[in-house]
Amino acid sequence: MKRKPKSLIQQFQFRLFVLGLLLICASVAAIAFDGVHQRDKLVFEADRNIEFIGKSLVRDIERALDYGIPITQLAGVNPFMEDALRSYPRIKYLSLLSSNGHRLFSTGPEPVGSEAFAQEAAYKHFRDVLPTDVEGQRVAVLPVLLGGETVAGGLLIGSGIGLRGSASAGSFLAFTTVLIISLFTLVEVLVLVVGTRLVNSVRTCQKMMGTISVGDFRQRLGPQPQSQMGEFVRALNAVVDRVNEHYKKMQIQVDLVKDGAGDEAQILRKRLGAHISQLLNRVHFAEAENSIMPRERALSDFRAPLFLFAFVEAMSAPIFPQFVITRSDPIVGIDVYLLIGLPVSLFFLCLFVATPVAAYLSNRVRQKPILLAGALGAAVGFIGVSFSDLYIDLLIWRCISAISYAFVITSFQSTIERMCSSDYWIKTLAFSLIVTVIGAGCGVVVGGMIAERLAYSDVFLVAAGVALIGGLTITLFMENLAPRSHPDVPVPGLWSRLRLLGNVRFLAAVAFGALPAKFVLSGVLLFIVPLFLSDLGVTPAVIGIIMVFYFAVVAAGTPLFHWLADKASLSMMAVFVGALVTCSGFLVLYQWHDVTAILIAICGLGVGHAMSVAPLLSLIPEVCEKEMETLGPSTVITTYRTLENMGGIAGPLAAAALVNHFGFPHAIAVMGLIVLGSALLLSFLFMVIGTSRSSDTTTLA
Amino acid sequence: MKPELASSLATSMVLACAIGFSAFLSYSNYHTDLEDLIRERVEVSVDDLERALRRDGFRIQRAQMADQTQRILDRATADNPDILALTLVADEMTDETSNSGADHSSAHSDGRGRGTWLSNSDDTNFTFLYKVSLPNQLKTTGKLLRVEVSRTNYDRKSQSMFGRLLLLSSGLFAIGFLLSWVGASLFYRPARTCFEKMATDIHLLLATGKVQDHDPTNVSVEEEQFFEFQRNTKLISDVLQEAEKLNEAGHASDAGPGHRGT
Repeated sequence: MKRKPKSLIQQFQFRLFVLGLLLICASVAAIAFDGVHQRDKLVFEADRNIEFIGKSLVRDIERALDYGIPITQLAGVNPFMEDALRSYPRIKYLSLLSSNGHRLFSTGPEPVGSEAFAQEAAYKHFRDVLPTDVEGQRVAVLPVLLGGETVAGGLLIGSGIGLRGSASAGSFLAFTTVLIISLFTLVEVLVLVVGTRLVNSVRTCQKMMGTISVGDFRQRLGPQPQSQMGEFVRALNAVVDRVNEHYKKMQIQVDLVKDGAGDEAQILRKRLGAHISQLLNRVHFAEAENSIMPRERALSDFRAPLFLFAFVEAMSAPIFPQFVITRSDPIVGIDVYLLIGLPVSLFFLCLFVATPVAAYLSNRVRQKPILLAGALGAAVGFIGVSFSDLYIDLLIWRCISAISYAFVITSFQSTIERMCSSDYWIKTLAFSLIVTVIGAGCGVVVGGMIAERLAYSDVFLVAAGVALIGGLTITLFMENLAPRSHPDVPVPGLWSRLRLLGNVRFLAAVAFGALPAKFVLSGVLLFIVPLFLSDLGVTPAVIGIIMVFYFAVVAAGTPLFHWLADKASLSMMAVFVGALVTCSGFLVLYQWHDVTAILIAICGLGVGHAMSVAPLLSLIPEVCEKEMETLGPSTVITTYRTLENMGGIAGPLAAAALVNHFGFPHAIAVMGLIVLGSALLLSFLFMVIGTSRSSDTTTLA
Repeated sequence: MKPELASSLATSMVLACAIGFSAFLSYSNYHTDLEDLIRERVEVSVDDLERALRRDGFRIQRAQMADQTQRILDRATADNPDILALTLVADEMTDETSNSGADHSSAHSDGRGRGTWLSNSDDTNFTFLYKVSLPNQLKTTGKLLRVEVSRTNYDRKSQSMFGRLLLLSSGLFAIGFLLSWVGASLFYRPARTCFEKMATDIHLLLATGKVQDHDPTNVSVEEEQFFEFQRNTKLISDVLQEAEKLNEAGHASDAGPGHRGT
């Protein structure tokens, strides 16, 4: 059986990815192991603390003994020890021992084997006994003296392994998170670098070989750097040059014999003419200069910046409302929740305004300057937010971040449009945006961790740093894609776009489908959830981990649900069921108000969005059949995506008002009902009027 | 930039970020544990102090109160080497903070431990504020206890951990970068050899007009496509041969009958 040939480039990419992953795993494991080892050394510090606490307790017991009460007849020892356990969470077990090591009073679960330890300590009169590990607890013993000299007994202290146990579990989670994020980042970066440096060159060469094989010698390959691949490209160019050179010589010969007189010259002219016409039937030569064959490109080459920008933008999500609280002084007459929600709304307002401008520029300017402007703008915005002391400063800098984000997203959207056929690009867009979701998922976790360990404002500084790394990646590795259209080609203006609003189906899809989706995203996920969780005492790192469930569910569910909906032609049904799932998840909070209920609501929101967002986007070509032809798919989809940001503007403001009146859990439940109501209206409308204009004709007929 | 260098640079970039973030986490965990341990010891001292003040407060006369309190504070300071100074600064209820001359406006609770941390602590000390309930003759009043804690032990251990992590991270990154560079060069070798061979084959084809033989087994996608291209090179050689013939015929015609005669 013949083996299937393997691609050398793919092998190279895969092996490098495995090597990179191994290196990252080994390095992270080494640092984690060293960290645990170093923290183990802190056990001596912890032992000092146990001794310190023990001495404090022993002093009180000794005071009682000094009043002449025998150690066996002490009263109130148990409540005293219970109080100590409450005050010092590290201490898990306390036992007052007689001078011969027998237990007199004790509180807390007794560590197995502590009795033998107590006997041994009693043998040494409880002096100079080193703390030791006994069945998962650290035990130490201190002498209880009578009159400062005679050993009346001992105090046995069992402390939890908190320093190593729970901390190790937390560390394990944190380091695992680092590994997962590194994995995603490595995939994206390698796809970008190997794609632009090798895969695209190989594809272009293959295309060139294909054109040469069919006798087309009119194109050459562009210049390549000094490498083996470059050598191969130069060899292919040499073939083209040689053939064209001969053709040019032939033309010179033809010119020479053209004017020749006599029979021989006539015969030669005929022979030459016949040969050339026969040759030209099969082969195309370059008439003057060879044109350069355009380089092949893949959509995946443009994913890395999107991943990075989604990453940096999401970093602040778990702490942003809390951060706003630290920067806003109460204003008389304005609700505090409104003040917190306003920057989130403003972010979406800027997206709403900047997206059309960015779309216009994407058609006029090369891609790299737009992405670089986005990277620099984001970095400046984040630095500004980090150093802003006043609420108004925060709003201004946040606007800059939002505008930068709009530029990056729109540039990517425009790239997809340039690279895919018109009937395929909407689906590609829906799927490609999953990379945004993955990037955002990684960002919220990292942001939460940084906020917990440093300060809220530091999260923005780190985000600025990552945005600058993104800019560097763009400069180093990305191709400068030319603008889509010639400046003379008209791009549909604002009025043409507004014509879309005359389409009732489009309007319904936006108002009752896209808008509510963004409404709950900004209102619940970005506004209420961080505030609610923080109110429940959850730390920023855990808020990030809880929020990541939304992104994980969306990333995993979108392709699955979209495929199912597409197979069964049930896009509209998927939109409705998605809203139902979102609402059901939210209604859990009506009854239960804890972290688990929030997690269920977040997962419900993720499933709901995975089921409804992509199928609704796929419905747009059907809904706007005519406009897709007249205005072009790009204009329709850009307008749709611009308008959906209005939901993002309204979300936090509505959430603020609802939270003020009903509290966090009930506000979420009410927003769930709004989503369900919208989906019901949309389903009803599409059931009555159909999803396309052709259904009107069918009805009339 | 060569593909293998660009790829190893990209891998190293991600590796550097992963190492940096892991080191940050490790340092931060260590730092937090260390701080918690110091704070715990301070809290034990504060508890002891509070108990002592409560107990002794009932026995001493108002006139002796200040001296006795100072003695208790001094003893607590002596008991815990971490504590540099203990000061009862204000009456919590009546807010005598301003009278004490200390600015506590930056005091905030970070949710760790019972005390609030003064964020304007200087570089050598940590300063915490604890609320303590003290008997004042017949009624109990709230007081604020200002505790200054030495950073010496904490800083020494933190710096040692930082230095260690810096060394470890740099070492790991250097090894990682080297390995990724060697790995990328090794992994790229088959592709490099393949491109080299394909370029040589084309040059040979142009020089000799002959297609080189290849082992048809175990070929890659890239080689297979190149062989397919080579199979189609008959067209190229045909074109070149025909052009050659025509050129020769043209040259013969240039020479004219006289030329042919010779």
